[in-house]
Amino acid sequence: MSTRQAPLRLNPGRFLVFATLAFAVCFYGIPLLWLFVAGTRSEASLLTQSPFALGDWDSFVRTWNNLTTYNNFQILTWTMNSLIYVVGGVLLSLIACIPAGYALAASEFPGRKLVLIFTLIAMITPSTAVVLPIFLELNMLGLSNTYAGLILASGFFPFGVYLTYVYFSTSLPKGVMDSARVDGANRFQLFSRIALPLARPIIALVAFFSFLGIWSNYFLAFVLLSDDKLYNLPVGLTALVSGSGALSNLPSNDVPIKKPEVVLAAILVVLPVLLIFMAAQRFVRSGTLSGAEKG
Amino acid sequence: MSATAMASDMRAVAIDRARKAKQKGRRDTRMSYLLLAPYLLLLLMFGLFPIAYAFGLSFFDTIEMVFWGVTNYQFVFDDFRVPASVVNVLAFVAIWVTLTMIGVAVLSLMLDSINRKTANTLRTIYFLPGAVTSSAIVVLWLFVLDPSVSPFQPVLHTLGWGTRADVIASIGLAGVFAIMAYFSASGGWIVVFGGALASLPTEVMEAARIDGANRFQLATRIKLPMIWRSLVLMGILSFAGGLQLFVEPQLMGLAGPQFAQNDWSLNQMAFQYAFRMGDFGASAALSTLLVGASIIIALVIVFATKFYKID
Amino acid sequence: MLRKRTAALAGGMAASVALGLMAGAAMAQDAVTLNVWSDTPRLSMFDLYDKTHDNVTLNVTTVAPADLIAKIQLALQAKSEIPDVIFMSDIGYTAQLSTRRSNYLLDLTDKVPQALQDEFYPNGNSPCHVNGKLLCMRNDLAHMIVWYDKPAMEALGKAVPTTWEEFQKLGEELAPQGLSLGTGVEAFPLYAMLVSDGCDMVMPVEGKEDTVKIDLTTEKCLKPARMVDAMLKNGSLTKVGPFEPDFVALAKGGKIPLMIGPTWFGEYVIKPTYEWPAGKLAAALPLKWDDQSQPLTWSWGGGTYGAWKDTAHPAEAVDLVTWMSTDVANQTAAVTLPGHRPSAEAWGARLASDAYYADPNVFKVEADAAAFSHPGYVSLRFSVSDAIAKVVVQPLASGGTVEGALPALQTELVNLAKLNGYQVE
Repeated sequence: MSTRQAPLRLNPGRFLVFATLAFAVCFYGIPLLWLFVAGTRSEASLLTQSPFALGDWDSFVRTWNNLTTYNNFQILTWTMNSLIYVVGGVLLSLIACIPAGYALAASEFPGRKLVLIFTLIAMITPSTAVVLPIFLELNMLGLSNTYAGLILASGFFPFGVYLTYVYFSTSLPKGVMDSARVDGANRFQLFSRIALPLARPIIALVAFFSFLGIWSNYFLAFVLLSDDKLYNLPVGLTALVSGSGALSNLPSNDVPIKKPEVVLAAILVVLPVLLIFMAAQRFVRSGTLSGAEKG
Repeated sequence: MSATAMASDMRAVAIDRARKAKQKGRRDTRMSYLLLAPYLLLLLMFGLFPIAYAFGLSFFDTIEMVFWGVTNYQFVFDDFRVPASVVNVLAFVAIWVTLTMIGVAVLSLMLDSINRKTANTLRTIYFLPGAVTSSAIVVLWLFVLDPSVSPFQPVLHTLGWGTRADVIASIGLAGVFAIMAYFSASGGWIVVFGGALASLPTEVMEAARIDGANRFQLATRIKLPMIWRSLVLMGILSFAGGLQLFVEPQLMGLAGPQFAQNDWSLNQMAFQYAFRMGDFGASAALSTLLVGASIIIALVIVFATKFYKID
Repeated sequence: MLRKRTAALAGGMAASVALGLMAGAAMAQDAVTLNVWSDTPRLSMFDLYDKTHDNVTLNVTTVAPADLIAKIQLALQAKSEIPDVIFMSDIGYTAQLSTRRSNYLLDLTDKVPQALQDEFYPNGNSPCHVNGKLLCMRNDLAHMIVWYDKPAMEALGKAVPTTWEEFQKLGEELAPQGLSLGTGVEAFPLYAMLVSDGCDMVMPVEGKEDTVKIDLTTEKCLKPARMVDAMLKNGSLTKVGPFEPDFVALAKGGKIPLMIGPTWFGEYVIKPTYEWPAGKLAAALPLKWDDQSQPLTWSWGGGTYGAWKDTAHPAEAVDLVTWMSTDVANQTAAVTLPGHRPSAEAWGARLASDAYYADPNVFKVEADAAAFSHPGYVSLRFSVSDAIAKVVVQPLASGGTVEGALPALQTELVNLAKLNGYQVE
């Protein structure tokens, strides 16, 4: 790779840079590559053949069938559920985060500092501490074990507010804002006419991180959902994997879920993230913490 | 118009303007709260209420619902496993925060110095492990850590490790969990810092380049100081997050009882109290202590970085 | 809700018989719905009950076995969506679901006829007895027996050992040829060997509630520990667990002619994972020590069924629990060896004609071995095997010995027992 990049300017410094980056590619990439190859291999092959032995089409098809025919293709239901939770949760988090981050960044008002501090605290509070109260609360509202309940709870995304706040604190052109204010535009008009058009990158960024969090959400979904028809993919797959004993090696049953099926299920969960990341990368990059350097 | 009249008139104008400004200020405040409303509602429901509820719960016996003071805290402090998990968690945090600070800074700066297209591809690769979660993580690490089937087989064999037990014994559980956490969490930060570095003012870079700074100097003398504050913030957030370590040791249990580390970290103990023993009071007490530590860290962030200041 | 209150009222006034009758009367009018939490393998069995019982409709939810306790804690806290009947994949769950803080399980002592209880194998239901009460019904047994490669043992000219002393000697003889007799580092097999001579490793004290005996300093514990150490040292027990790739490679390559394993090992590990071809696998009775009159064999697994103590339909819930564990037609098709003797005998018929086994008596061995089941294989609120994994197995990797780890294990177990509210003797 380095030779293609800079065939003539290969000095020790450049070499070090590319060597380090290549090392990191191995560190992050090889396990993933292994994971994707492993989806095509049989259990026996996983345990006894060389780590990167390719599988064959037949074992892939067998694995796929084992996984999809389980309980009348229940995985499809879980996937649909995951989509519902993700779409609802991401929309809600955007509706909550973007205006909030803007308000915190663009104006001084009583209680502002408090909201910021609480946001930070919420960002670093362990989920085990709050999950029971959240469960009891939603249960009281009759929302536990419903789509709405999990969507509400996952729409709370303090990290998104933090990102939006940092973004707006630095990228709002002060001059434009001031002149608009002089022209008599009110706060809301300022937000809708000036801030929102500027906010596309941060919307993409918050949407992406919130998608990532909700798509792979296990703990909250596990606590709030007790009906397997409402499970999302991570909870459903974990129930399946743990029930079959494929990983814990107490496989005293005939459920055809073994390690290859677990790997394939893992790929199913990872793949959408991969695709969305590729699609969103342009936005994600341009919007990220561009203003994190504020003092 | 007399001087006094003029003065009083001016005063009247000034008062009027102040009143208008005040009115506008009030309107602005109202508008700010309107914009904040959806978030505040969620913050209340899923942030503040749960924390307050857990705090209250920590002083109660959750079966009879009677107040019993610090009994729950006493129970936590008397648990023989707590000191060991404090040590475990601190060891993990030390390794993980160091790894994250150095790894993320070095890789981000290096990526910023090469051509954009390659950098984007690499960033994607670095980020992807973050998408691998729950049971997938377990399979992945079960295999990666086992020298006989690991994709890193040659490396592990070179280091003289023949079995998974060798690997774990040599690196230590804290190290293993730190590597696992770094593997999945660092990519996101690298992406975030990629954006931050890309948006640094180009004039400064140009000026430095004209002054003859090479890439290394550009990275260490210009860019690093400019992202330093964010790096520290990341370090502190990682530190706070690390104290809550839960997923990595807990997931190992999915791989069977021989790997179970159910009481390795403090947060796991809080989970065990609540969901194994049904002792939600003791769990709340331990969680409250952890949240307390987090709040102190949050306040440090807030006041050390003047997080709340508007330019 | 109303029905529940009426039932409670009736229960207060009349004997529990009346309560059963009332529930029966309610049942006749409309089908009763029971909420059931199952693991994946048991789904088809619950389905069968649903299909064959018109008066009851089952609402079955798959719950990850490892998450069962957590989900029940949540349901109890919320006081809603509490399941009427559950399958417990871990025998520890019974004790963990019958404490003051998680008081879930229905006492079945008087609800399941003694005659039916007696149809179980000896100690088959001991994981269900907590402080003298029957709190669950055993689904399957999982005691340790000897599994071996018959042609390989014949080719080696070795007899299958019947005592631990012979086992150790056999290992010594075979180790130089690169052969091993199973693992020495997996928590459960290690646990099984350590308690094989009656070591008091968290054993319940008869007649005293919540009291256990923990004493690892006696010869009964030291002797097996020394055996394991010696066998690990000369390589006759492997330093990798039975599911690790290295072990699988050894087992596939014919390097493990004999091993100690639970009853489900043949069908679910040796056949699918070690891929021994047909005509090799045979089983023998568990080992005993020279000075023992008969073997004392530990178990590895075995699930149980339990019901909710405040269920609105106790009669139906108890019926479901008993049917699942003792209905012969149902259990015949079960995946693992039933704990209920008549079911097991019907279940075992298929093994006799299975050409996979080199010996038609595999089921007979399994059934006979059940008589030697360790009475101390009971339900505890904490996991001894986790403690063994943590305190004994981990140090082995860095050069420790089992004997050397026993004092640390004693401390850990005593601490764990006290933390979980046990009196320690």
